[in-house]
Amino acid sequence: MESGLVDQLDRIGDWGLLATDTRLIVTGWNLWLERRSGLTAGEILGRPLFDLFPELVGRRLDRYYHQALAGQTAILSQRLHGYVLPLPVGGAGPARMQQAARVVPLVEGPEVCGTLTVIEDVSERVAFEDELRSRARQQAALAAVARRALAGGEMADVAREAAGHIRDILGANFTEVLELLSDGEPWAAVAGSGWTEPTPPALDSATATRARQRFAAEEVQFAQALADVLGMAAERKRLEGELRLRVQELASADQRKDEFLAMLAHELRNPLAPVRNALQVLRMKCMGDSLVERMGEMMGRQVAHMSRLVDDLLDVSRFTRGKVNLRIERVELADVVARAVESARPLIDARGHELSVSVPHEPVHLHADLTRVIQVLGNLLTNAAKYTPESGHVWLTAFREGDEAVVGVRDNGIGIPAEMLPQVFDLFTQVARTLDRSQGGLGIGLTLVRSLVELHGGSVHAASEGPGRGSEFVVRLPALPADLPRNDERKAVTARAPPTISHRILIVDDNVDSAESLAMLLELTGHIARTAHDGPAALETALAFRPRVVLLDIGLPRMDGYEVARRLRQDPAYAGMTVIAMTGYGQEEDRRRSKEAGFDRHLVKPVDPDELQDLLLQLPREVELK
Amino acid sequence: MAKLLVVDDSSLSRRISRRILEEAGHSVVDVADGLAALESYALDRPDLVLLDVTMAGMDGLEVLGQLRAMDPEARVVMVTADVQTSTRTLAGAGGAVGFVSKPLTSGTVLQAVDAALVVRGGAQ
Amino acid sequence: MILTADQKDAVTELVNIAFSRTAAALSELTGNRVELSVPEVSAHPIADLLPALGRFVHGDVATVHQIFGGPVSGDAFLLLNVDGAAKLVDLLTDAGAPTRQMGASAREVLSEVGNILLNACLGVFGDLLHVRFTFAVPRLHLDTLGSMLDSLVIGHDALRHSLLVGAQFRVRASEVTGCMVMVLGVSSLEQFVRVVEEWADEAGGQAGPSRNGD
Repeated sequence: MESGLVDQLDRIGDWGLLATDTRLIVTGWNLWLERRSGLTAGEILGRPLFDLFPELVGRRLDRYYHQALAGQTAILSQRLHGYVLPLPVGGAGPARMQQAARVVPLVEGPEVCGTLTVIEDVSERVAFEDELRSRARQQAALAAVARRALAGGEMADVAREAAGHIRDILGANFTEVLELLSDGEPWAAVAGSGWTEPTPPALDSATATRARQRFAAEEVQFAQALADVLGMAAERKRLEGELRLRVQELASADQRKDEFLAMLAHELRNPLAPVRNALQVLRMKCMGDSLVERMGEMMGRQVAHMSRLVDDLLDVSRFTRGKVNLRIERVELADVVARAVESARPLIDARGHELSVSVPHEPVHLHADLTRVIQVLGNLLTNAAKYTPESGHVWLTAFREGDEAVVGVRDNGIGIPAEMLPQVFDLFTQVARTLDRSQGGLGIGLTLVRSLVELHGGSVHAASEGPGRGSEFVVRLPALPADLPRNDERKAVTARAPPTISHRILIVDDNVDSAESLAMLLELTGHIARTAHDGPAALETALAFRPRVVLLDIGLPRMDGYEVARRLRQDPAYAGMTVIAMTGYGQEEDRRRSKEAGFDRHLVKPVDPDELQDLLLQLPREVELK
Repeated sequence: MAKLLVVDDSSLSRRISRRILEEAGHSVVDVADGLAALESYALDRPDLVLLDVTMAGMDGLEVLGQLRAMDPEARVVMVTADVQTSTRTLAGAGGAVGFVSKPLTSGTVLQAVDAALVVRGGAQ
Repeated sequence: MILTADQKDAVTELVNIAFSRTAAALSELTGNRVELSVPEVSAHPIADLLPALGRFVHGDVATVHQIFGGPVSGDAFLLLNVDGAAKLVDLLTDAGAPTRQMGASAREVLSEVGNILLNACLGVFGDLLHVRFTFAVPRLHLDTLGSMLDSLVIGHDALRHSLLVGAQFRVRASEVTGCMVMVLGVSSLEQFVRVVEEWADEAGGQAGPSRNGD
């Protein structure tokens, strides 16, 4: 009966068929099994199964047979057991056949009369699945290494991860794989030089070796792919390093440039003061001499011009170093416009332009630094005048738009080419320099405008329809709400009264020309002046001279102006003395410091003679000093 | 001979246990859940508890803990169909003095009960 | 068919013992403790099986079916969601790289495991109920819950009702969860309940030495 069944099944499928009776004596052994085991049916039939294959018992597979005898089918999966009967693959050779099997009860009616083991050769399938799995692992490994590299991991870590994967997947160590890679170049670069961290231990210890076995083609592929990833990672690291270096160099170069500009502007200022003073002296002394007057006026203009240039340069350098403080107060738009027009008026008239100004009827108030906003608008007007051929037209319109104050300055001058428009506000650009220098400028005016406007929280835009079609600049600044109470900000302009008082004045400045020219000026206007050029000399002179007023330069060598002031203040003999500071900067901070040090007033160099005269006039009458 | 408390949510199991134990001469109180078991134990103070492991609501191991918290001298024998060794270990760690597997037979039940009662020197 | 409280109780107790054996077999296979919930017993029209089972699993499911015959016939199956099945295979074969697809090898493993567990379960029924079951070859089914139920064939019974006994299990220290379910055809259902009652009466009423032998 069974042989009939076995024969039938044999004809249907390509599988091993092993039948037994209830005592587990073999009763069927098909051709498939004969071919693959090399054992004929004659040798097998009639013998006990567990005598023929004792390892079935050792591997505890006998319970499946007993289960079948009890009437229950048993399934033996390849993954859990590997195989049932030890058979070689392909009939001969070392590798073992991978098998999936079932042990089913053979039944006659309700009774179990034996078992049948059906064996399938799944070696090929297993090999295929293994390959799939290994591919998946390789892909995962590559992805992991690439990810670590992309995330900017240190080369040593990336290489260590790669070495780990090589060990796990190929069962080889780094150096073995390096050998086998025909194009080991990217990896050699990584392994040799390329990074500065000490060689990580994973790279040179040989914990897993494959003892000179040959690698399969796809394993070589995998190793090469890993090498490529590492090579790219190393290259990227190198480039990053270079980039960082470059950026650093640029930054420090930039900083040096800024510092140079600041120093330059500061130094350029110093000679201006004595020259201006001397000029004043000359003009006063030679009043009536028309040649001197003409020459004097010309020199005055040039000095003023140069002064403005230096001031602009100083401003720009301050801006780039972030060192500008605004003195914010409530200002009125129409007032600002008027003053700006006033400052640009000379140039506009000189070039014969027509100026149209329109301001709103209702006052528009802003929170702004008055001087600076005047500077901005004045700058724009001056530019408009400069870059318009003579007898042109300049329009200024100011109005409120929503919560902004808008001022537009338009001209019908030479215009700006379209491709240059984006760069007009940039510092030192070709555009600015070309235009401005032809008119005797430095090319920084518009940069100042933009910086100042943006510091106020506003914006400025340039527009032009092209060369010869004029230009328009529009400034927008945040405006205060319209319904605030009116507050007249106009300062009274004090007329300068001729000096009627004569004071004893001590001028302390280490710049000899500066001090002496100022002294001469003051003497000309009726005061008595002495000079000193350092701290100790100042104290000595003060003791003998008993000045009513001391003009102190802060930047003295050795003992600075603050120290001199302190010493003077300490002495009760000088109680009624007025001490005035002269500094290169007019910052809030400096004013505060000078006040704290005991100065009564603070003037910014170069000292404006008129301002000084006004100050002197305001002093209380001479008090006799003890 | 002894006063016993049977805790099991299966009425069949309770019936089986009662038969086996009463035939051996013990007196039996049976309850169907953990809360009732705690109540009954507090009131009756039986000599021994036969406690099912797998119950809906408060499971057997939890009840074991509560019983032992209430009375550290409580003698509890766990009853269960769960034959994993880890279960046995957990029960032992929880303070059970014995273990019986389902299906219940008079042989296994009485053996476990007698062994547990001996620990304390029999019933009062 | 409506079960009485006593009948329900008896079936539950029986199933509890059988499922516990199954859990023990799974525990032995995985090396981890297996936690089993209290089995639930309910009778349903076949059409209602889908929502009832839907409480246990979602999405695509892997089921290993053991169709059995004899005085009582039915289909017992191990029900896992596909993710859980894949995890169980990984757990058992220590696969290294986890595989989410169910290749032929993985399916084989699942069949074997399902077979072992179901044999444990049905073995208990056979022992306690003294019923001689005959078993068909176990079948693995990977599909949606609905399609699987559509293909249920239980002997020659006209299927309109079924007895559903189910318990959730969880393999500790893994994320493998699933449930054991048994579905019986209606005429078998009556027979089954009768046989269970016989067992219950015998066990409840017998005080002498056991017939199971210890």
